Amino acid sequence: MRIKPALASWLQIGPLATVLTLFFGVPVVVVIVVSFFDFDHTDIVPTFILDNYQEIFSSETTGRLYLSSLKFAVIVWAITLVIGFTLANYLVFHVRSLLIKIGLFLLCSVPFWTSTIIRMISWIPFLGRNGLFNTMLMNAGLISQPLDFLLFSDFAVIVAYVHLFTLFMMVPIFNSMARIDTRLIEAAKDAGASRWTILREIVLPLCKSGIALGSIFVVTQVMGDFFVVKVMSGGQSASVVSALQNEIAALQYPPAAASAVVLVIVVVMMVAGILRVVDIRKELAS
Amino acid sequence: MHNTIHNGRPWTFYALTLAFLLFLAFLYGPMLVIYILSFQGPEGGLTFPLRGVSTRWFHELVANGRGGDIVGTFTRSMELAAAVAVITVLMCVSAGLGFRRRFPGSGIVFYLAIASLVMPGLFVGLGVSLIFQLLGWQTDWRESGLGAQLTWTLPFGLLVMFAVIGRFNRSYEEAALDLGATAWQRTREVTLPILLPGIIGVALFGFTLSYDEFARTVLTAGSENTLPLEIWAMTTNVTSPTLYAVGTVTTLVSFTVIGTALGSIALIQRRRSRHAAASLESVLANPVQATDHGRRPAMPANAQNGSIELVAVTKTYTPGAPPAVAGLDLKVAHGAYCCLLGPSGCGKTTILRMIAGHEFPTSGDVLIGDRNVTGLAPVDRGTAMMFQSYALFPHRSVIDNVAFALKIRGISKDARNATARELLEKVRLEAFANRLPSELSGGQQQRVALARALITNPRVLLLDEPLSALDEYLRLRMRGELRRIQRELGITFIHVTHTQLEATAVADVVVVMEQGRIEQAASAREIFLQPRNAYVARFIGGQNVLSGSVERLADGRAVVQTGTGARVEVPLAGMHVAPGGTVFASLRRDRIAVRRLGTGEARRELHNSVTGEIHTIENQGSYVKITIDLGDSEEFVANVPEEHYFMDPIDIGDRAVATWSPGDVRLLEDRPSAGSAAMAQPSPIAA
Amino acid sequence: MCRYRKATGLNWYRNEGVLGMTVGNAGNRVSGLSRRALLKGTAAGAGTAIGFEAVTGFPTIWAQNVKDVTLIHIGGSYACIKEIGDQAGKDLGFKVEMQVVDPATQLSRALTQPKSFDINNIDNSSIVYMVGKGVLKAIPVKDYKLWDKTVPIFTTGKFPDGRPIPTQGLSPIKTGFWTGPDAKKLSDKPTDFLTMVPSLFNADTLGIRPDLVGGRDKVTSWGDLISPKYKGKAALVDYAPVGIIDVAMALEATDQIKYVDKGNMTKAEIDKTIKLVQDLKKSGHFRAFWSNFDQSVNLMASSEVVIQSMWSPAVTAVRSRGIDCYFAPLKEGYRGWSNGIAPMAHLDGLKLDCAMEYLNWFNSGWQGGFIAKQGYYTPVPETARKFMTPEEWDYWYEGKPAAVDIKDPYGNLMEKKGAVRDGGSLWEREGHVTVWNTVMDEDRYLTRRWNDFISA
Repeated sequence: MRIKPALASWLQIGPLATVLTLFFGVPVVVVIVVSFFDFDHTDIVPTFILDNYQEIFSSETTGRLYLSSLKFAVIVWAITLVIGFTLANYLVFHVRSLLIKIGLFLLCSVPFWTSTIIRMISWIPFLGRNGLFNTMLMNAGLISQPLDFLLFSDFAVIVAYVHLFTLFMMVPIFNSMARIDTRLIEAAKDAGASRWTILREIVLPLCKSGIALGSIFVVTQVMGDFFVVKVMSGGQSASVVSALQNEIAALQYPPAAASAVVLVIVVVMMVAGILRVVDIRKELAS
Repeated sequence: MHNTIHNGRPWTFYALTLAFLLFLAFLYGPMLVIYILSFQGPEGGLTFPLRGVSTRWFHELVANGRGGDIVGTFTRSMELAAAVAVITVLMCVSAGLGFRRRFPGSGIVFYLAIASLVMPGLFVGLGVSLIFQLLGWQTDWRESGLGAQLTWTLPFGLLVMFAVIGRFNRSYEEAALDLGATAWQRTREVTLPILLPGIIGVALFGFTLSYDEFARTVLTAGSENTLPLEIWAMTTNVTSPTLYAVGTVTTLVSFTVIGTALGSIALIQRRRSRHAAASLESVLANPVQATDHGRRPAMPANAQNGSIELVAVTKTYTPGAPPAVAGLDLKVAHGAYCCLLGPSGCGKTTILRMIAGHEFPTSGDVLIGDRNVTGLAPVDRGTAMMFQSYALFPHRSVIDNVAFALKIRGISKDARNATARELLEKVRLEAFANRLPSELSGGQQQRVALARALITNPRVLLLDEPLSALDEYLRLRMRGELRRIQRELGITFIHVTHTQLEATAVADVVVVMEQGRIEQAASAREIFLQPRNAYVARFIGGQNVLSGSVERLADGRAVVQTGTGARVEVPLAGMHVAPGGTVFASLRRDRIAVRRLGTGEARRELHNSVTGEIHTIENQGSYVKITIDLGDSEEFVANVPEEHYFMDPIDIGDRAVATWSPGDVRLLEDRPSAGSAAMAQPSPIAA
Repeated sequence: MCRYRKATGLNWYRNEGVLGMTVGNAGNRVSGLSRRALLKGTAAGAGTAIGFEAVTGFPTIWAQNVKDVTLIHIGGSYACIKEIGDQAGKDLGFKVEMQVVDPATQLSRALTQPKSFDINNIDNSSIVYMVGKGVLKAIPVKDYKLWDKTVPIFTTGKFPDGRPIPTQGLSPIKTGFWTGPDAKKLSDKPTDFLTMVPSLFNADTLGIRPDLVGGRDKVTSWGDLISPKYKGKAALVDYAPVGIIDVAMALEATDQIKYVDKGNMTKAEIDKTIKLVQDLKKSGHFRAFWSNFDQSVNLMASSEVVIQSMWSPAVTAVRSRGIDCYFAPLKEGYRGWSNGIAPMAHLDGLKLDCAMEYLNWFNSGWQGGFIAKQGYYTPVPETARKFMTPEEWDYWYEGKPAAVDIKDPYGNLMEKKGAVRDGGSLWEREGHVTVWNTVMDEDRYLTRRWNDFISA
């Protein structure tokens, strides 16, 4: 008896596909349907209209929100990539003992076991106008006025994002870096390649699946965030989702659903773009 | 360039260590704020220095209901996170393995997962709660909350699994199948242990993500809050220091819980490995007595017959593309050593894998011992496979690798270790029984792989480029070793190689392949003496291929004029050629005499000779290989015995005449007929 | 389409709900009172303030059953307090579980999973979101025993001195009554069917840091919120319906806009308001926009901000850290709001009886005394008074200087002896309400424009 390969594969991904269909696929259909509905005050009126989308595409706020979210996504992506790559490089090639590697990883993940909400408010005593950092700078005589841009600003938002998402970048890069055959690097060394050349010509290309995965994690998380941007900018900045959350809070589901649909399309296209550069599934099959 | 410091650490090490420490400081900065400020005095804002120290904020948490139900919600979140982690691991491991194949619908599921990662969590929660309501079910953190969280952790876990599975060599699984493992045994014994680091990673990811999830849980948790919901609700009532106290307490408890869990796992593992070591020692202590237990597992009835027959086998990987194997027929007698020889991509490995049962023919049948095994699983075929990369399980010792198939068959540990030791002795590795594969040299790994393949008493051993990873010296030694073992066991060996020397050295039957077809299947000697066509003659080596048009026919010979004008007599040997037609012929390189063209000697038009300029000369020890440039594209080589050559050494650039006897010329089939049946019998003279 | 309505749960008009309601009420009329009386007789504790006549001789089965009843009460953490539920359990014999949720979640849950809880503790302005949804059960006035003792702003729409309460925004009267027992439409004048039992109310104004603005008397008008003096040191609540009112008070105080009804602006008024406040934001006037209690406390306590929208407990929380903070009485008056508890439509039988019992217990004094010490007023002050010391009553309700140290409900020191409540007595504060918390007709437009403003 032999099971057809395609059937075997379906059996293997079946449970996952079922859960995703039930808890994501079906709700998403509801969201899409609602996004075409009208509503008055607080009632949803089931008629087919395009107003919700028209409103999104005609409002200049939409462009501003996406621009701001994209700006955060790109900056945070670049920073987490550099930090994540550097640290993964350190863990893979410079830390020799497996035990220490595991220990350092655990050390990095411990802060994530404290509520994000609590961690966000812990930046205030640090970055605030009268916070630790400003006090230190003033005591050192470097500045005479407290720096306002440290807190409730785009800067603060980026700091918090980097704090939250670097690990998401580091772990996949670490994974793919650990796969690199050290003989390749020795071979490159023999060929006279400098450390930098090895990094650029060998390590970087061989890590691209990890970088792609990390990029997907970071970009989707930043694009989908409403909490960090709200808290760390002191409500001064908004993201696509924070605007959408305001609508949900006011029970205006149809326009919120339409924004969600647009957002998902935009971000899935971004992910598809990443996958176009690096085909993760192809790497998987090899 | 002296940028290394003592201790052999490059300066980059210190720079990166510093960078890492800075990152840790960055990660822990807010945590320190939380820990310190949770103990701040009852008075003072969120500023340093602290105005005194107190436990007011912890008191506020514990002594009255203002702090919310921290204990209950914490327990609930831990439970939920653990459940999410377990389910995520199970589903993602399974799906990750399933996704290795591209199949209809896989793209849809993949992008469903991606979209699920992207969708704002609030909407997932809203949708799930609406659907629960539609169905008349109550939302509950155990059901709807769990499901909503999975829409997030599953895509995360799946992508992490992708990265891990990419590292996983599929031949490990095939090796396990070969050795008789059921799907479940294979998963438990091989796949999961190798994927373990990734599984731990996914579990940690799942736990961490779920433990603090807010957006998806908020509308789906039902009438009981989880910790993040409670903390979020608390921000409407209590102030930061109290929340810091929550942070301090939950971190402490998480540490205790996770520390205890890790500690007990470590303890169990240590105990288990100690136990394993003890039992191994007991086996090592009495190796002799163990032989009696070496009962071999039951085999199919016709186990003794290891003959192989392929009937009209076609394998197409991509519909529309040219087949990897095209309508192929082949018969190999029991006990033969058969080599499949051909360049890479000729289909030889595909044939091997179809015999093993790791691939299935698109059409046609595979027979082993006169029994049609086309649809059977590898373990039911009585075959064993030795993989090109050996596919030794990296997490098992040498003896465990060898004994694996017996373990699968439920043989007791003592008995199977005894048998395994017997086989290790046969391959002279008994001293390495306790090592891990990574601690062995290439040649040793190869012999372990051989021992592991042989432990099931197979009637057919399939070897996929078994010698390609070895150095020249080892390759020659192992070649002899393989042949010796094959003779000793008397079973059928199918050996895939792209080196003609390897094939002719060991095989009874050599099958020369090209583009999914068999060009010739015969004994090594026959192939050398009677190559069937120009392709075989060129590939097998030791032959020059001549071509030209038939000038006339006489005395059972054809006189052929080559492109350079030389005339060659070709014995027809019963074959039919027409005057004027183009024919190919082979000429043995070791039967050619070469002499210098005398000064002033006119270029004569002799039959069975060619004239040209010496292009290269290579001393091969017992003979000298001389390449003569005839002015056409075909290489013309003469292998001249060294004593002949050195009597009057000619030099590169000299003009020379090569002559031979017509009896060393063989007529070739000019156009090899595709798919013609090839019968291969072990040649009695090959031994 | 019809199927969809049901699917979303956002817009259902359940006939059977109405029907069930009537039947349920009929049942109550027959046996409800007796049951309730029985509950009292067997399970009431000594602390019960309103004494029903104890009736004995009924079979004890009801008392037995009541033990197994659990009411789930959800609300914001300022009102939905575990101690209150525990005390209710002690007094009534059944269990009350308090689940704290944030306001947005509470609204969504009330509409999408109305059966996941029993008692909805909400802001009165949120009632408009429940209109026509059939998720709440109307409360017959006759079943609520304390209606006569309730302050008149809820019952007649008048202050105790006879002045009518302001009509800008959603006053307690506009949201307090259903037109009938079907709980479908709001009535703009009192009827026999309450939307909820009012449970607490208060008056909000701006919070300031006197030490950083130069004294308590330096801020006297809502206009100071947008005064250039406080550039970069002001904050606003990031919740459109409340934030816009605070801004409107400031703009009106500085004569920049004259509104017809701040509590229900026209699109043009919204546009003009957003435009002005957006310019202020761009000039860097606002340091932050806060979205929860803790954030508002942090802004003040860390000296990031010296003047902002604020709620009474936040002022108290800052002050309890030894940092001066003042809930400044302003000449334009207060923004008033109230809160109430409403039983959910799915309740019936014994559970409904218990819920009604709970509603009656809620304002019987214990809860009022408890929340008074957090700075809130109960709609039935005279019951709460029994659960407060005279000194506490004088401080919280009468606006007199504290005769002793004032403690919060958990015994922590709040105010030292001699302190006076900001703004004075109950009616000095509540009597100067000029606008109520609201949900405008142009709610959808406001949310959109508010998003424009925040993202600018």
